[in-house]
Amino acid sequence: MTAPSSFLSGEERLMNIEVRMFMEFRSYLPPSATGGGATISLKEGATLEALLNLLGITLDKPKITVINGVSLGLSNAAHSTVLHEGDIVSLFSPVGGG
Amino acid sequence: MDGWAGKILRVDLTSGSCRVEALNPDFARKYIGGQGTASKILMDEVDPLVDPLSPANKLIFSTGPCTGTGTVCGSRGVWAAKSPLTGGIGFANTGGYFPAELKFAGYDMIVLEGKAAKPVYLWIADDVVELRSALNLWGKTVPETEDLIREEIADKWVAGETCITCIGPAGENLVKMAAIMNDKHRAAGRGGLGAVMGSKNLKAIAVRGTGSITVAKPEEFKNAVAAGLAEVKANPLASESFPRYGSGGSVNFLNSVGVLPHKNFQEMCVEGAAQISGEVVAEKFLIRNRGCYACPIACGGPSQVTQPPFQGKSERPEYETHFIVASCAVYDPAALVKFNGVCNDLGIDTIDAGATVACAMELSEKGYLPEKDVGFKLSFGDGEAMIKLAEQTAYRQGLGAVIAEGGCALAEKYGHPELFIHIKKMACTGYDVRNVKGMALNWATSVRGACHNRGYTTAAEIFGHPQKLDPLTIEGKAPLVKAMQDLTAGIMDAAGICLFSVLGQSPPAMFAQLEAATGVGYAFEEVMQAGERIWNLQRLFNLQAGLTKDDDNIPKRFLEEPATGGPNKGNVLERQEFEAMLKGYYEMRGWNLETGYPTKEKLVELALA
Repeated sequence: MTAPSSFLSGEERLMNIEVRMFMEFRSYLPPSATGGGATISLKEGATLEALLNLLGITLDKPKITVINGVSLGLSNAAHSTVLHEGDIVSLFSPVGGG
Repeated sequence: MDGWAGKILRVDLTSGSCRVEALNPDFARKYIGGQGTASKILMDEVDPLVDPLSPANKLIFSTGPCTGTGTVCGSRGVWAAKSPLTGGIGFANTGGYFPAELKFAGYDMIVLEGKAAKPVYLWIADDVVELRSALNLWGKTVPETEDLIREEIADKWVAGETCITCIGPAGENLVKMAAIMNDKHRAAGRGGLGAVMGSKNLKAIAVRGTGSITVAKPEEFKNAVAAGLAEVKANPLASESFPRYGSGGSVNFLNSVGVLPHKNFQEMCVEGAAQISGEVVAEKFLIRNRGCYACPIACGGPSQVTQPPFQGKSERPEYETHFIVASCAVYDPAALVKFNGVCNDLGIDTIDAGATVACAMELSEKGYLPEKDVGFKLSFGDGEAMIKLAEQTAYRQGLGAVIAEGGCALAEKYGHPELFIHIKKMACTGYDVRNVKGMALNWATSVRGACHNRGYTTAAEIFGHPQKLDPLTIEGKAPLVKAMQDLTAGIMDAAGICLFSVLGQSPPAMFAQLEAATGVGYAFEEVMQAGERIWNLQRLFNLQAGLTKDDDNIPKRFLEEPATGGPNKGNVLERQEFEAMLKGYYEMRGWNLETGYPTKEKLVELALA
């Protein structure tokens, strides 16, 4: 059994996360972003909290989080969610009603 | 009385006589108002087997004790009658200013019966009540009708202060999804109650009230309103997103999680949804915000499209109208705004009209609806056809004459009843319930048909408000649905508080305002029980009207056709899951599992037997 190369070398492996921003969250996208989305590189095993920090979004800013089409709702409990390569993270201002 | 105005206005359109009846305090306490008091009068005075469009049906407008008091979002009133669309009990809730103005004139309710020999409108100025000729109004659109009535009022100050509710051509033409409109742009949309008004030859009601409503405990009421207002202000959903984007702000979110239906519930997660989002409508077409009486949220607003081919004015559409346009696969925001404006002006429910058009599009694409019956090649994505068919429906022209009879009639005529997605003949709304299982149960058990408003479990299951629940499990859904239905019936609809305000203010905050306004010593549980009482009363009306347990069902599309996209691609609502939820719900409701009837014990508990 072989240990992961990053463990052996001490190098950090990166993963790509696709972010899609809606409403007020559009302003947090990198300047290069187009169409309300961008690909962000994060350390493997990073959480949603790390992504928010990287984008400059304060953790107490109200939002609805969707990861890969699954709503995590309004709760900040979503912050500890571990992200994976290729995940699609969407952030919405709080919405509701129909 | 405090909170309640204390009077019921009864109008016999056959004889042209009007009389005022005192509101019985015990009756008011027990049924609160809105759909509660209206249901009780319908149950007592209308044979559930009556032809909904005959003079023997009664049409009731009913406010709640919070309406017009200054309660946060206390703007609402409810229209009720036996529904020509469903054949069961029909309700449609509306805001704007008309409901509060009726209270200021001194009335909690209007009960309309019989049928006028010629078109009339009802004029109410405090104690002055009279029926006036509406011959010059017949055939007019909703805005034209309002403008003409105002022009008849000599005193321009009074004209400006008068609130008007009316039907458009759709109601006159007995279209089974005709709405009753008020303040030009507020729709009591569902169940075809506009057709009931039309069947009575009643074109409009104009009301001017100069009185005010007293509250029982002024200091407590003031504090309770302040507390409710503080909750709304502190909530970014109610204070920021809703005014900015309206309920259409949900479009992108619900599309991303596979809940917004497309193409008559055949598809989900379609990229085009971004083109018809609340953000796009706000950015391109919204002129300003506009709220109802006592509303700090102001989710509506005049909107305008200036470029052809869809130029025109409209109120900002609601989420359900965004959904309808997605269901027709029309990803053009100008067509969305135009469709909303056309439906409002002609007095037709955007949901059932649009859902029936979506059904026609599917029938046409599958070769079941011949081109000669439509007059042109009908297919998904045709915004001009969507609008044209809505217009034809209001006037019963061409295929519109079939659509006017309701989606079930259309789908049956062309041999595929399964292609109209409905419950109790009322179109399903903007939620793909393969991905929101509590909502499936709520729809199936809703007394007025596939109604999202009276047990909105999507709030918890998808939005996470007030707390996030798993939308794919069935555990806990029966008690959730029952609680939401009773809460909505009792503390919001019956009290006269807007359902949308629950996005900001909590049910205890609403209850505090209701109790301080009425001073009758309500306990929170008593109001919840009143909601349960109302729900059971409506259930009894439906059962006596001929509906059965089998009508608590879910369209086959959700049970048999796997989801085509989204996070749960391939998923269906399993029949046994649905049956298990339904069984749990009946048990919680105290209803007989075989017949669907409320048990004797339940009726005694609710003081209905």
